[in-house]
Amino acid sequence: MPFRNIIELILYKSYTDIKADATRSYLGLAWWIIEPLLYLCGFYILFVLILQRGGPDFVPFFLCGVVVWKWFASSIQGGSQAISIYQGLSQQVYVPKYVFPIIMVMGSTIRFIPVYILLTLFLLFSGIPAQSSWIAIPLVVFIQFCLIIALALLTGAITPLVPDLKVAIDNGMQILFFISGVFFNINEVHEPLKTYLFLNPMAGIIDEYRNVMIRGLWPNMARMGYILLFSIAAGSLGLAILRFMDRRYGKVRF
Amino acid sequence: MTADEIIISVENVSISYAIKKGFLKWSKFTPLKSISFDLHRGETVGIIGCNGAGKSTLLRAIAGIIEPNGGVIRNFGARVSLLSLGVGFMTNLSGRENAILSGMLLGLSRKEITSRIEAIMEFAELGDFFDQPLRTYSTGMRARLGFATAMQVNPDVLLVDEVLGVGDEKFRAKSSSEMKKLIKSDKTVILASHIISTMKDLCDRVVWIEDGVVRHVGEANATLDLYVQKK
Repeated sequence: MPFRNIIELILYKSYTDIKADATRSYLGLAWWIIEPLLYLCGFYILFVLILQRGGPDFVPFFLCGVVVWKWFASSIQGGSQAISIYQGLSQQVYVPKYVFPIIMVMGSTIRFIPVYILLTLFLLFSGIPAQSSWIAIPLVVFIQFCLIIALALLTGAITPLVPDLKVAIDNGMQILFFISGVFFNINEVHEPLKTYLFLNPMAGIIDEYRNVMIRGLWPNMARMGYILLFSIAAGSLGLAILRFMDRRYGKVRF
Repeated sequence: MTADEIIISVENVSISYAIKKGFLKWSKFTPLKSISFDLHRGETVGIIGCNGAGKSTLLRAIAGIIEPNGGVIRNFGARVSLLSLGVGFMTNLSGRENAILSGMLLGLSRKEITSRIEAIMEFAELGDFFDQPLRTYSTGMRARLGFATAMQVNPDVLLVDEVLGVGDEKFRAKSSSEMKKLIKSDKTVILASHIISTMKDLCDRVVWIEDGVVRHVGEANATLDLYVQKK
């Protein structure tokens, strides 16, 4: 299959997946906005009303974290299952296997865009000015996109070989959600714990979004470089496994 | 380009699957042990064998979907495609969108499949349903759309796994005759089946697979008569 056809296939399949998704449930794509709001309610009750912490800045701070987290989590969960979701299809036609995790990531990326725009509008309304550091937003988005593609390829490559990994990833995502600083500020955590927490690339990404969008700071380039290198390493490993297993996944039977 | 030109050569191909037996215990299932035959341009080769002989597995290997564990399948530059009806169909998409998606999955570019959409529409005889979601289709209408789309993918070598005629009586006759017309044309075809009469009608040569090896390969009528006798 020529490379051009593969790109066209990825784009068309992403479009049809979203269209099918939107017609499947009554609220369709609105769930992408409802879910972070439900999270927000839960954490608002916990932190602001029960623990009496957080203060007025909590809502923008939390939303900024949870929106980009949602993009990450749904991409990785989709990507890790991509090969088994499209198993029937890949028994009928040959499609390079890296296409499937990418389709899943494209789908959640397109759903993420309107939610991110809403987040930006919300920040403006809640009194956070459009600052010059916002120019760096595309860079942070790009680095997160690299990270997502890389981890989707890697988890997508391994999950069909070790089906238990699906459960492990679902649970791992829960743990990552709690330690990535979605609802607390890792910068206020004591050392050396803080350094360890920032080894998690998603913790770094979430902090960078807050730097450029809320705090008016430029991104920390050393940290961005670390996340990019991490992504290149994970993505290359994922691609290598996918290429090696390309015509072998069809023979894996459980 | 001569009539004897080999376009695909299957050499000592073996294929095995790992089957899970218990916790960390695996056993190997080897439907194909050593298969060899050549495919010449323009001919129709039948593959015969009982259920579970590995006919579909062999076709999938020739289509490049799975890789043989041993031996090689040499392809001398042919575009090979396994005839599959309704590849990637999604119930919430319209017939038109499904046809485009399916065509792209079968290897066509977006432009190629879009330019053939009229032909698909006409052949499938779906009328206004063509722009309705697939979930409103009957099984027969779905099959017609699948067949019409698959017919538009024009590979050099077509692999057919027991699909001769789908849909209601009228469309069955139409699709069956279309299939036969295609197979009898200059197209190179591998046809896996166990319907003797169809194979006698369509095939030039037949490869008989049993117990994972080629039991006999030769001219269609003679091989099929031998197959019937031995059964």
